[in-house]
Amino acid sequence: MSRAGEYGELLDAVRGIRWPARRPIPGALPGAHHSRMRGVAPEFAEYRPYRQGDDPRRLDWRVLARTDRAVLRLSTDRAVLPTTLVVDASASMAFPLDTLGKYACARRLAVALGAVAHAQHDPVGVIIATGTGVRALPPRSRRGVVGEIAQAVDVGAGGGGSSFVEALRRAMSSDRVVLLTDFLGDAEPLLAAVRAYVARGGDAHAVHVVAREELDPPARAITAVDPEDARIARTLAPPTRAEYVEKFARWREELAREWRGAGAAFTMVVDDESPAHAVRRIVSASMAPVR
Amino acid sequence: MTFLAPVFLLVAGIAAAGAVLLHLIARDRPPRAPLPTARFVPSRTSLAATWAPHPTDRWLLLLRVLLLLLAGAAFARPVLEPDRRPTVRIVALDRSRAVADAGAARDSAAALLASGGALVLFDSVARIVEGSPLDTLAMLSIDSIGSTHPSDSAAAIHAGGARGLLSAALLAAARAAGAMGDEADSLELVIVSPITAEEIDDATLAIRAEWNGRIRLVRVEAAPSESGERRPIEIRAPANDALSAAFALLGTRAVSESRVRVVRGAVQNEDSSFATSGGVLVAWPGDPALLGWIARAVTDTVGAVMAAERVQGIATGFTPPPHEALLIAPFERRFTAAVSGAAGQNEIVVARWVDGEPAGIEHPMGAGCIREIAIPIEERGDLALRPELGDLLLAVAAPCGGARSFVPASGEIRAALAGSGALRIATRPPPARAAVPPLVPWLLGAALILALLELLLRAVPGRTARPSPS
Repeated sequence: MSRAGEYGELLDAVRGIRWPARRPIPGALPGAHHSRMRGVAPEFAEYRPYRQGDDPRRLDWRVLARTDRAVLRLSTDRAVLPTTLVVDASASMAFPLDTLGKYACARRLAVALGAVAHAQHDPVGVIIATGTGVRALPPRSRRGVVGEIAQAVDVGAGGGGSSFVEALRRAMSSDRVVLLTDFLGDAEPLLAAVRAYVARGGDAHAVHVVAREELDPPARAITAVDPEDARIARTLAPPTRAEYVEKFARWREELAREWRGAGAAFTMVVDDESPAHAVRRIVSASMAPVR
Repeated sequence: MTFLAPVFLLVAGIAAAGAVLLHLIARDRPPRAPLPTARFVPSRTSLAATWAPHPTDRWLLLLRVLLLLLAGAAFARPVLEPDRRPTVRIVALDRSRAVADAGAARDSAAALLASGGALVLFDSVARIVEGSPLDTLAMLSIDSIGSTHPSDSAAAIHAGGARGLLSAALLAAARAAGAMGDEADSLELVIVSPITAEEIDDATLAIRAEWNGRIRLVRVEAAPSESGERRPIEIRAPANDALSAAFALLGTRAVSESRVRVVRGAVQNEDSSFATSGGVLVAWPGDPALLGWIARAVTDTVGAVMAAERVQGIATGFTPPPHEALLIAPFERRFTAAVSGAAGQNEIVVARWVDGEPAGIEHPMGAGCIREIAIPIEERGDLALRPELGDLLLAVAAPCGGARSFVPASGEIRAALAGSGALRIATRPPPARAAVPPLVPWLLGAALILALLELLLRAVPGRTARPSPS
């Protein structure tokens, strides 16, 4: 299936999905998301007593007539949520070698999430962190940005460790950042950066991309080699397989706990999961209360 | 070589097979494959066991296999000594004139020797066959005349015309038994013969008593005692020969079972052919020098000569045909018999002077024989008229080897020959075996050296990281 066909089906599957902000955003531009600003939008939010200097045209005359109280009618403003998708294209994402399943999963999620955000008139962009550097597409809300994102993520994965932390820092100017990575790089700096971002009011989403072969490696004995660090070469054989599975599971749980504790939404996606289904899970995770 | 505890060879073989199997398990780094989460793999082991297509570390494997086999051989306690069979067989085959079907007798002997043993061929003399008995039997053909078989044993034996002597066969068998004492624990003597009365002499049973063990008798068909046809005796003599006159006086009695020719002069080529073709040539020249007899330095007189062809031995109830003659006359003994060479042992004295000196000797010649008679017959006198001379003529005109009387020996004699009880025990007992066979320390020493080499080879630095499968 060609990329166009592949993305076409995916975009059809995610049409209509709403991806609200996890908390009110400080944005001034009108959009789909709740804004911390109170304005004159039709959606009633609250009454405020009239103060000297308020526009008298905003008085609620009905309330005044009924209660002889001069109050102003306030409503919730909606704002746009610039979203940046940060895609990890390091060597560890180029796994399995024959299908590049992890990166394929990450790029499909990036295109799908970009489409969902764009449908809500949110500016959306993408930053791809490869082994050789960072390739960025700033958030835009014009037509065709999803196609541009699709073209951008087609760069492919590989080439050693990525500058993912740098890519994240560049993305933190957006109000929403989505990390599509396997978290096998510099975990601590990344977590620290996200903590700071969330503390500043940013909306962080962490999508942990995992390959099925990493969860359930083949039974035959192999010398497992880390593609980003060839010094790590260990024998994965039936006697050690169970221990590997347990250690990896524990690490995933710890990872999820840390990231959620840092205030990010955390979702694990296996590369053989349906992208549309994964998008729904990612989006629903953003509806969880922010800690 | 034999092993006192062969089960250890089996154990060593199984252990060596196990070593080969273990060397088919290669403990090596498995193939590399990328795995981004490799950091979570325990770093305990770096090797994994896989099946190798070929045995790994072949030198080490070779050392181990040799070590196990040598140790097993040592524990199996090998001894280097010739194999002793429980029983070895000595077959005495009768080749005398008493055998009716020499081929059948030969086949019987060959069947008995199929599993090995010794062969003794006998008639009037016995000879132990050198070399392969079966090969000799294959080459023997009693009926062949002038056969070209290479066996000197068969060629040296007068083929078929001589009288058999069981005494000679028993003595030869005893000699063969002495030589085979190391080969077996027991010796079985089998006599393939018609066991006729003429083959038994006064010494036979006494010699048989020296064989301390039972004897198996395989009786073959005996030849008919008489050939049936009696032919007139030929005589070639000058005119007025006294011996011719004596023959003439014999009349119808001058017949014999064999073809007999009496020659009074020199023996011609045609006479030799007559003898080799199975006839009895009586060479009775007036001058025995023609026969190679040696003139005596001093001529003496001897008063009598006797000739007899007797069936020797104990033949109760049987009276041999009387062809005895005792001729008393004032003979002048001018010649004495020459000392024969290799064929001397096949000569038979057919006439003796009264003092025992041979007066007539029979020599085998081909299928027949030649009888050299050195009894002077004077032209003058009445010697030719005496019936005793006729009897003497008939005695010396008997078939080669004497009268052919192939009456079977009595049952008592056969029972005495066979005997009963166990087989004869080999004269030489097996040597006592040492508690520790001498090969064992050498084998253990070699195994120890291999064990040290195995340790050194494993400790050689730079060998690939392949820990011992053990």
